[in-house]
Amino acid sequence: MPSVSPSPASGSTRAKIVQAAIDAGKLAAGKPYMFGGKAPSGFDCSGFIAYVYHQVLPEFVYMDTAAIRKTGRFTEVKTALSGDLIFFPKGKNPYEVKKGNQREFPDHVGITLDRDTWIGSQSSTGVAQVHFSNPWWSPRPHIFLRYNGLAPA
Amino acid sequence: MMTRTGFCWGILILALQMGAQGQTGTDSYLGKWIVKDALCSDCGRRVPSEKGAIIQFGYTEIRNPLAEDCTHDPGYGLLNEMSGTQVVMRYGKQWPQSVSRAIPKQAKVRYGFLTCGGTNLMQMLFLSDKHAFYFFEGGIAFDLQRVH
Repeated sequence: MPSVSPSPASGSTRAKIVQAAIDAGKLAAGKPYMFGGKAPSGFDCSGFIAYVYHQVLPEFVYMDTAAIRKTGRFTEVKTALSGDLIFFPKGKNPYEVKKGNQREFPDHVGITLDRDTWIGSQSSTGVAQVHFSNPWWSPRPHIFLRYNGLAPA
Repeated sequence: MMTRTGFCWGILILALQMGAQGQTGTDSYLGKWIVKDALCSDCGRRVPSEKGAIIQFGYTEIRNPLAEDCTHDPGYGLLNEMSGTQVVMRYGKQWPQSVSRAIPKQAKVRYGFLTCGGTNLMQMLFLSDKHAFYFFEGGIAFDLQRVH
């Protein structure tokens, strides 16, 4: 089972990503999820990642969820650090399957904030923080991805 | 110096303002809400086992056993009043049809996001101070009824 390490030192690149993600979430308060959205007026999940990462890593260019998984610019890690991505591959959600819903849900991606929470733009909430214990998200298989331009610690 | 008549008028105006706030402000939402049903248009044979869950909206916290609690700085200020027709036209494309059908077209409703610490928490549509919809992941909408 993937795990998450403690929060980074303040002022580090990782701490800046965390702060940029929280700030972007506040800018997007009141705004619903927007398919294809890449700005605080409305984000989709990969648009939110690109907006936040670009604030801190100017060389980062937008890529959709499939590209995040496949381009080789991210590497899967077992233990996530703050600022790494949490990636939910498309598939059935065990929470829903238990309720008789066999629907397949699309890829989803967010940013790990700390040991307890991640943040992303979800279809129901727009940009929101989610606890790792969230009953809908936590049963969904997920992995952690580290941007290759981001130091391990 | 304020006369007795002026003082009485002041009290009356204050009372009227407080009454108006009670009808349309945060107080309209506070309390316990029960999930009466789970509605979705493409969930096949989904069993709405969330029925009966209690969601509590408070001044200092929100308790939501279906998703996220908020134990610090819940916010109710991003709910906007609009007509039933407007809310369906602007936001209703992804909603289950049974939700859109339940919205009185001419009535004033309140739609928007409850927040936690300044970030979105729950997408809500309040039809009245007794009936609301909570838009959940997977295109599901929970039909809520106020119990307290």
